[in-house]
Amino acid sequence: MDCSEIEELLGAYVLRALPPDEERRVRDHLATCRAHTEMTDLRTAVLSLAVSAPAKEPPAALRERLLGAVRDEARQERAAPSARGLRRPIQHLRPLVALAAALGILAAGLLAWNVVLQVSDEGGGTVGLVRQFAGPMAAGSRVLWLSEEGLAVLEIQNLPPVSRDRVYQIWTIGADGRPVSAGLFTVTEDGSATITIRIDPAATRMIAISEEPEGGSDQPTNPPGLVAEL
Amino acid sequence: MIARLRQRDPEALTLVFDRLGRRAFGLAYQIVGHGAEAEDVVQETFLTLWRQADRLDPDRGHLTGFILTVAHRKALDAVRARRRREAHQTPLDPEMDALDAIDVEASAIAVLDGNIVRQALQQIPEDQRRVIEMAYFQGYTHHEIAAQLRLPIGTVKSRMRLGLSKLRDTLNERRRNGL
Repeated sequence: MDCSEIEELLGAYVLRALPPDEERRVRDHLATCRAHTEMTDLRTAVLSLAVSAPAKEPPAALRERLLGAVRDEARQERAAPSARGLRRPIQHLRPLVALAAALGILAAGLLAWNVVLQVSDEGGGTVGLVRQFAGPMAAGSRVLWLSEEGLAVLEIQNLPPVSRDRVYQIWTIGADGRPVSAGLFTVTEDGSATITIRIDPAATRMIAISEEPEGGSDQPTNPPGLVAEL
Repeated sequence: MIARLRQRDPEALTLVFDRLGRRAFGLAYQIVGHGAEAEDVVQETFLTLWRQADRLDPDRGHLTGFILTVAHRKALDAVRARRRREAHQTPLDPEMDALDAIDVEASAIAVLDGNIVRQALQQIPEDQRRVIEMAYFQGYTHHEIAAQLRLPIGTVKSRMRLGLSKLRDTLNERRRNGL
């Protein structure tokens, strides 16, 4: 969508009057385009609409139910801190935002991360499935997820060979969004490689690959070229 | 209060509920109509606040905007799901909890007095107000509104923008006049 199409849709967008696919496209556009400065004004007007509905006292039982539900969630969070990341789809997205911020290359990384967000949209990974890599360099690469052994086999294809002072680095990403190095590899002339890495099945949410200087980096210095959600 | 939410203090959430629950429930009730469904919307809204507490700035205006934005979305989801059931349509895939845009600036400057806003709404031309209400309070998409009112889709889109701009201008004027 170009900016003029977006401008026409802004009113409907802030009113939530767009069907899901149009809403998603506008949201994606707005994530990377700062030209639509009318947005704050429109949102201000829409927030005011919210209070034009008369306030209404909810039943007393609702407060108790809410407190009970929150206490349950708080208890679960204390019992299994990593599980908090797994239950709700929204939690799928937050580590990516944290990761993008941690990389400090938000502008360049956003396009790549939009791709990653779409991978997340397709639902949680389950044990035993093949996961396709997504991303600008994905082109047929995939992960075979052998969870019982705690292993993932990365079948890489069509990845451009890199110069001798560069290498591909594998990252595993857990619920906290921090990439942890899982190894380095290079590809053969035809752009392929098969790498087996050990993963903690409970903790690992994603596998990403980025190009790094020879010897690898402590933290990614480039946006991921391939990402697979587990 | 947001700090306490971040520290995972459940009581803090009930304090926010005490402050904003009536507004959230009033909005939900106006949209979904049924008391029980409105209660579910409100409960889910405050649970969402609990789960996303670390996205918020410690800013009172921000909290109100967050609660009302989420409540509105969940109320629309409920009314749209009901409509699909009644039309024997298959339900849409459960929409992921979207990352609601938290516009802190909008939250800070929005007029939050119901009486003032209701008066300002009356000053918007009727045809613009109608499409805004059909969208915001009844959850129709612009396509559905265009079909129901037998209008070109472009007309619906522009009435929405014009109506919201007029509302914004009217509220700005009220604020400048110290009301």
